[in-house]
Order: sequence, then structure tokens, then C-alpha cells
Amino acid sequence: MVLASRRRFNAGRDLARALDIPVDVVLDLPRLVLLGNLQVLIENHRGIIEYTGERIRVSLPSGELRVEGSGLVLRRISLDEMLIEGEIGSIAFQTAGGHTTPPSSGREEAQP
Amino acid sequence: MLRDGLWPYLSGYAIIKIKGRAQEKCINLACARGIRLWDIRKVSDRFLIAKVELRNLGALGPILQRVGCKAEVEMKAGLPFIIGQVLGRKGFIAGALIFAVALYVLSSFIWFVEVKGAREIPDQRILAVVAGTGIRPGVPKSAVDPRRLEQAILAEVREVSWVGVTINGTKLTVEVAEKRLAPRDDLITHIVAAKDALVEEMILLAGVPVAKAGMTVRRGDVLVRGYAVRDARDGGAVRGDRHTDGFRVVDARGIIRGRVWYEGLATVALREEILTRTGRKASGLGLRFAGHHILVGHPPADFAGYEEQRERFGFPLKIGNLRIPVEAERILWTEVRRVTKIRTRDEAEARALAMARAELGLRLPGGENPLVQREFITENKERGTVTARVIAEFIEDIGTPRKAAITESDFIAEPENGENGKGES
Repeated sequence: MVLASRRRFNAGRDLARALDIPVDVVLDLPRLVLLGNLQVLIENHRGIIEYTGERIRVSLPSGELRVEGSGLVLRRISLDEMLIEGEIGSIAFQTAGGHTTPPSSGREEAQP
Repeated sequence: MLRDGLWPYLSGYAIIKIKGRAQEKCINLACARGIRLWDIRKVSDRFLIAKVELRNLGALGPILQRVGCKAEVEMKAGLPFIIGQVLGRKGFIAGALIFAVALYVLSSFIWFVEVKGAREIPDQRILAVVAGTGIRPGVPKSAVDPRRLEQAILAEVREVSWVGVTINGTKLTVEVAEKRLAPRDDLITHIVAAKDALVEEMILLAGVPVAKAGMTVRRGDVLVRGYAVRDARDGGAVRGDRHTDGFRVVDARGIIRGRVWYEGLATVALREEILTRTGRKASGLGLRFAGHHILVGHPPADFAGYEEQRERFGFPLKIGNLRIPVEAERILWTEVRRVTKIRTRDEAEARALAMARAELGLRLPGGENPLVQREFITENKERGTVTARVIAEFIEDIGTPRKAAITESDFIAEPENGENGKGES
């Protein structure tokens, strides 16, 4: 599984390079913009899995993103972009085939 | 930015508190339905707080029902509510109203009066006329009739050819165009004596005679006065009369002939020291430095005296733009000698007479022959001089017109013998 996705990524990356288009668009990857440890902008997300002041789990096209810290606030959220503010401690990826739980059912409902 | 911050603020938004277990689901669903939630904050384990636009508040209900959450509106915020709050404060409203009314009321008065375009006329004069019609800072605009004010200024200030009065806000602007006034013809002409003379004959055409034949007059004396008559009768006007502002002005006209003396005077000494040129000459070179003569050569030592003549030659020296102020000059010396000349009495008389006649000739008006010409010779034995005096008498027109401002003394009743005073002789 991991190998397959790795291979797919490499192929897509090569294609993107050849055609001179952004890799994230070709591979449907999330784009993260981190502003120090104060703000993170996540583009191309698939909804929220869990939200507390200390941990936000965000569903991604492949897997999920876990943002941990304190005083986390969802400054704004729209279909393809969300802005999280607060004191960010760590950001971790978990691919869909990984050991973390799959995205909650809320995600499917958010994608009609 | 506008969408995120300002628009919700302007249109109003609600802060809602969402309770329930599937809060994340609720956010995702709202997002998918296009209901914007922002500033989502987890306040405790049990509920979160979010902001939502007022117009989306209704659409939120079904979503909450579907995921089994409950929500309540904490407060409503944004401009509509701030306006509502403000409207609730009576004092504030009253102040704003008073301000608006005061602004309106005060703006209906004239506060400034400005004069434009006046160059020769002092602004104060026009402002005085404006003030004279009762318009000064503080009068209501409605009391000002610009057309009437224009008429008033035109009537009062003669030098103005056009006036435009405009009201701009609280400022009254008077724009004037000055006219070029022809010099006022309120002068009267008198005839005065151009020279010291004995009046010989007067041919009076108009005016009141002051001098008479046989009178000695000095230069500048009035010979004939012009006059003014207050009662201006039409038809009674005489040639040359002018009608000015309700009275008639008669300029003096006439020919006044008088006997005028001219005198030539010359004094010649019997014994006189004069300088004569001997005919010896010498020349040398000199320098001129910054306007000062620097003598290089000297006149010959055996010259008893000399006259000096200097003549510049050559060009000023120049180095680049720097002009060296040194110039060369040529000097010419002519020897002069002091000679004592002794004249006989006859020689001296003849010379004095000739000089006196020459001097007289310079003073004579020329043309006419003199009526009389007399010559006198006097001798001053003590000083050893002979003086010749030549006097010539002429009959001349001595009258010259002089304009003067009309004064009260120029007004007379109609002259007894009509305007055409007849010539006296």
C-alpha cells in the first residue's frame, strides 16, 4: 500500500515536472501554509474529524492531518480551505492505510 | 477580506453556542451547504462557539436537527445592532440632532464677505458699501439680494464697471471689474502770465479779467479767470462752455499782450590774467589701473604750466575670463602760460557790449525785432571793470492757460456784461 502510493506519487511528480504544473494539483495533495507556530492554512481538505481546543484532526484526500497545540481556534472554514490559529505544537500526517482510525462518517456526509 | 471581515460586520452576525456530540459533523455539513461559520472556538468539552451571518441563521436549524445538536444564540453583533444600541441612547440622538440643526441653521447665515478683483479700489471701500446696505457677517442669507447689492455697489463706487455678487455656502463674494476712468474734467482754465511784463493790451474772449492794461504783472499772476455758474441754463451756453455735474464751466480765453524786457549783462576787466597756449607740446605714456591714472611719463620740466589730454589705446588685457584692469593711455601735454592782458577803456567797452549783446541774443525769443533796445555802459573804477547792460523790449503774448481744480471761489453769478468780455486796451 505504502509502496503503491509512493510509486504513484513519483509518477505524478514526474508528470507534473514535465508539464510544469504544480504537483499538489496533479496529485490532489493538501497544501499547508504554516505561519510560525501561530497559524496554519490547510488547502484541499475534506472536513473535520475531531475538534477540541488542544487537537484538531482534519480529513485529507489520503489520510488525515493531526494538529496539536493549545487554544486552537478554527478562524474560518470553507469547502477547500481552513485556517487554524492558536499555539501549534505539532503537525502529523497519517495516511489512509496507516494505523490511525479511518475518517469518521461525518466526512462522507460533507461530500455530497 | 471584505467577505471575511467587513461584510458580516456590516450585515450583522450572531454568536451561537453549539451543544451536542457531533459538533464536527455539524461544522462539516454547514460548510458543505455553504453556511459560513468562523471564529469557531471550543469553549469546553461540551460546546463550542461560532459566528454565523444572520441571514444563515435559519438554514442552520435543519443541519443541527440532522446531526442531533442543539444551538442557541449567545448574542447578535455587527453594525445593525450597534446602530440599534446607538438609537437607544437618547442623549446621543439628541446631540446628533442638535449638531445637525445647528449646522443647518448656522450655514444659512453669511459669515464671510470677500472682495475679489479690486486693484485700485481698496477692498475696504467696497466692504463699506456692502456694510452700508446692512450686510455684514451674521446676517441670514435670505436677507441678501445679490442683484440689489450689485446695483448698490455700482451706484456707490464710480470706478466699478461690473459687479457680481455670489453666495457660496457661508461666504459672500463680491467680484468687481474696475473701469478705467477718464481723467475727471472738473478743471477750469485760467490765463496766467508766462513772464514778468507790463500789460499792453487784453483781448478777452471769455472769463473775468483780473489784470488791466498798464498793469505790471509778475510771472504766474492770474490775468483772466475762468468761472463756473451754478445755474446752468440751456441755450445760454457760449462757445467753449462745458456742462459738468449741474454747473457750467467757462474757461478763460483771450490774448494778452504785454511789454517784456530782456537783459544781457557782461563785465570785462581792464586788466586780466589769462592762460594762453604757447604752442609747445609733448606726449608720453601712462597706465590706467582700475580707473586710476598711473603716470609713467612726465611733462617736460621747462613747461610753465600745461593742459593734459589722455587718450586710451589698446585693448584691455584678458586671460581667459579674467579681465586685467590695466589699460595703456597716451598723454598729450600742451604748454600754457599765464599772460596779463591790459585793455584800454574802449577795448573793454566794446568787448563788454559784444558779450552783453551775445548774452541777450541767447535769451531772446527770436523772430521779432525789438520794440526798443537800449544799451548802458557803467565803469567800476575801484575794481577796474567795465559793465555793459543791453535791454530789449518786446510786445509778446504773455498769457498762458493753466488748469486748476474748480474751487468755490470760481463760482460767480452771471457776469454783468455777458461772457464775451470785450477787449480792453
